Amino acid sequence: MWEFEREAAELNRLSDEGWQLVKPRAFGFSLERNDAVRYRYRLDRNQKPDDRYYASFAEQGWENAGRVNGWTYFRKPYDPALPESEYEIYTDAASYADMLKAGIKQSMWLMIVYAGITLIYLMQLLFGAGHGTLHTLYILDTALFGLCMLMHFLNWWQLRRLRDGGRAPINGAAINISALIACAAAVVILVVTLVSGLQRPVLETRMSSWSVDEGDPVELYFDVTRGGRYCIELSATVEDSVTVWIEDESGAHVGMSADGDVDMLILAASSGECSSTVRLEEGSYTLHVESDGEAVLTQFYVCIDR
Amino acid sequence: MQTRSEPLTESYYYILLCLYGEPMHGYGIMQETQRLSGGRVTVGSGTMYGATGAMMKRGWIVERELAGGYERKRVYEITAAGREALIGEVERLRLLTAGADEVFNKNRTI
Repeated sequence: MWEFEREAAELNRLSDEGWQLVKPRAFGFSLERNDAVRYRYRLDRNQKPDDRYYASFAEQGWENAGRVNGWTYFRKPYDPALPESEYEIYTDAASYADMLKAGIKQSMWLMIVYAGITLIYLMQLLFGAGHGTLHTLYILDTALFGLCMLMHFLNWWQLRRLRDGGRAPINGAAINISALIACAAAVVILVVTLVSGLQRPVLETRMSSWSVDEGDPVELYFDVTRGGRYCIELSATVEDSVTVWIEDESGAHVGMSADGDVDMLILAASSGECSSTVRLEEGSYTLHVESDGEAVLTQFYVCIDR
Repeated sequence: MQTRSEPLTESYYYILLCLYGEPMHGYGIMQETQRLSGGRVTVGSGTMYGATGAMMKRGWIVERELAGGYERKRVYEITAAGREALIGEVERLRLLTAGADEVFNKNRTI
């Protein structure tokens, strides 16, 4: 795709070595051994070829050797007595530029689409989407979609250079394949995050004002369907310090640190936020919030997520 | 898109010139172009297809099928608009060279 000049040169070289094209494929070609002929190949882009199109090539001795991805592979027996310029299908800059126009447009649109997706991901990252694993996956997806955008930008830039009579310094096939792989990987990650339920926190509560009295802990219930390491995030504005802990079904405290020896989190007076990791197995849990005095939590937020 | 006042590309120019006298098929245009340009201009298949397609869209040429004999033959035929475009271009070129002639003649002694 859009690597037509290198591909034609490769087919010419193979033909000189006795390998002739049988059928072009999306990746690579089928070849057959035939030392009796030598061909010169040219690839041409045309999304809607008609009879007139094939006739235009046939009348100048071009044989249609197959078609793949909107590209037709033409070939003509090679006559060493003729100069290589006899095997050009585009003989002026204007018609060559017209042929490239579709590709320039296509890569520009792909670039815009990927830029949009990357921007959405960046915004989500900026506004703190996900915790732990999910956060890492978000970063990965942002990078991969960003890479797709960059690849299509390179393609666009390169085709424009080609159109303006320059040479193509980067291998377009490599650009396209890496864009394809990056896009596929990003989509796989996206599907994984959607299917795995990683996107939904097991507990997420947000309140603008909440009073917690001494000796009367507030309880929030939640279920965990998949065991694993979770991230607990707390933020609130408080006057008196607030203690937060998690109990399992049997009423035992759940360890709230990497080694499990801390079993509660304390939001000190007026401190903004704190976070920790907690190992949760499948089951039901209760999150307790207790105050030393009479605390009013403003902008209280708690989230337990992967 | 080119408008009539803009110069024609050499491919457009020679295709119209070839068709001025009689309808021709693509291969004939290619050969006649080489002859008329003294071998300087060739019209490759991709260029031929693109240029004829664009000129058909502009109504400068039309495609016809010659129903003579056992072999169907597609030929291109110039239209009145096509002749006008060609004549306009030739006039433009004459003006260009006339200007050059005038300047060159004036400065011949130097």
